[in-house]
Amino acid sequence: MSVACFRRCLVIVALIVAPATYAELVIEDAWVRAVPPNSSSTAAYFTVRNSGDQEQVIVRASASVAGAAEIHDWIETDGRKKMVRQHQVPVPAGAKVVLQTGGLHMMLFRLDPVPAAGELVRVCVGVADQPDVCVDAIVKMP
Amino acid sequence: MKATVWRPLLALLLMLGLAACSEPKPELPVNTRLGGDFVLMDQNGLMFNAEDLYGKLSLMFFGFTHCPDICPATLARTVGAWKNLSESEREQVNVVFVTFDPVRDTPEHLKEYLKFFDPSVIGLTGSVDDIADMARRYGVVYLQETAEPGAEQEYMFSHSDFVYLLDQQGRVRKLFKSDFNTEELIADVRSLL
Ligand SMILES: [Cu+2]
Repeated sequence: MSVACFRRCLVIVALIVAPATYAELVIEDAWVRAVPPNSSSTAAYFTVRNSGDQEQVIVRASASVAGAAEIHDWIETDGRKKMVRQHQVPVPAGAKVVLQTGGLHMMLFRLDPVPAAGELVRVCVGVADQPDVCVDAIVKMP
Repeated sequence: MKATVWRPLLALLLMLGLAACSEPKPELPVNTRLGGDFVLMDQNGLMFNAEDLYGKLSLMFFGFTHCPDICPATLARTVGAWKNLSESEREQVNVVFVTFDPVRDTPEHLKEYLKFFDPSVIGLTGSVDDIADMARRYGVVYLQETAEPGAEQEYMFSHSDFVYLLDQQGRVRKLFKSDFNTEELIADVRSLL
């Protein structure tokens, strides 16, 4: 049996044995900013770790209380800071990407309802052709 | 080392240390380039101008409530620092939020938004021109940005995000970055009380 075939077999076995393990991205330390009840949007923050040996590119995001979610970054030009949507967020193999205030963050739009401090919000990110990776994020005042 | 040698040395160090503590911090300089009068409206719909801040220190910054990352973070951080002051100190310090976005940030909207952080936060809005005029005086740069088609928000503002410390006469004494160090800000506030 060739090495490539052996690897493929291993992958197939892994898929059968534990379907969740093919998702190589893990979300850690997730939280959502508690915002006033008349807010239209908030932000979620977390670390995405790639335990695999290949780069993974996040191409979508979602959250349980939000009509839509996007990943943004802050770009500074001429003394002004601006949020810019990131359609693709690469997570290098064996590395992590941190979403935090003032940097990369997940925007949660059209909140319904606006989650209160102490509640949990399910936030998910996804790589093309793979199911979402999700986690329950605690809503808190930082 | 013999005790006779290091004891006086220790005493000397202690004295130097104490001297450093009691030495007054250099006074925060008055920024003469920034600041000045303005005429806006507070979250109760009442006219509000620069003089309404006089007599207290003010921690003032600019943003808009549809900004979900830096603006609420700065608001929470500033109110958090303010809450770290004693009650009598808090009574001598205003926290002021000025919106760039009068269309969405009406007095009613600001009122409900700000009371989440603390009901005593002063929210200011006004006409587009009056806000622009004030921002210019305070050296705040902002620009309404039209979003890409199909984006969730029609427009946003790119903006500078300094927190201004004003003294009891409304003069600008210091600018802090939005992720300021809370201890530093509190020490600067106390130096003016
Ligand atoms: Cu954003």
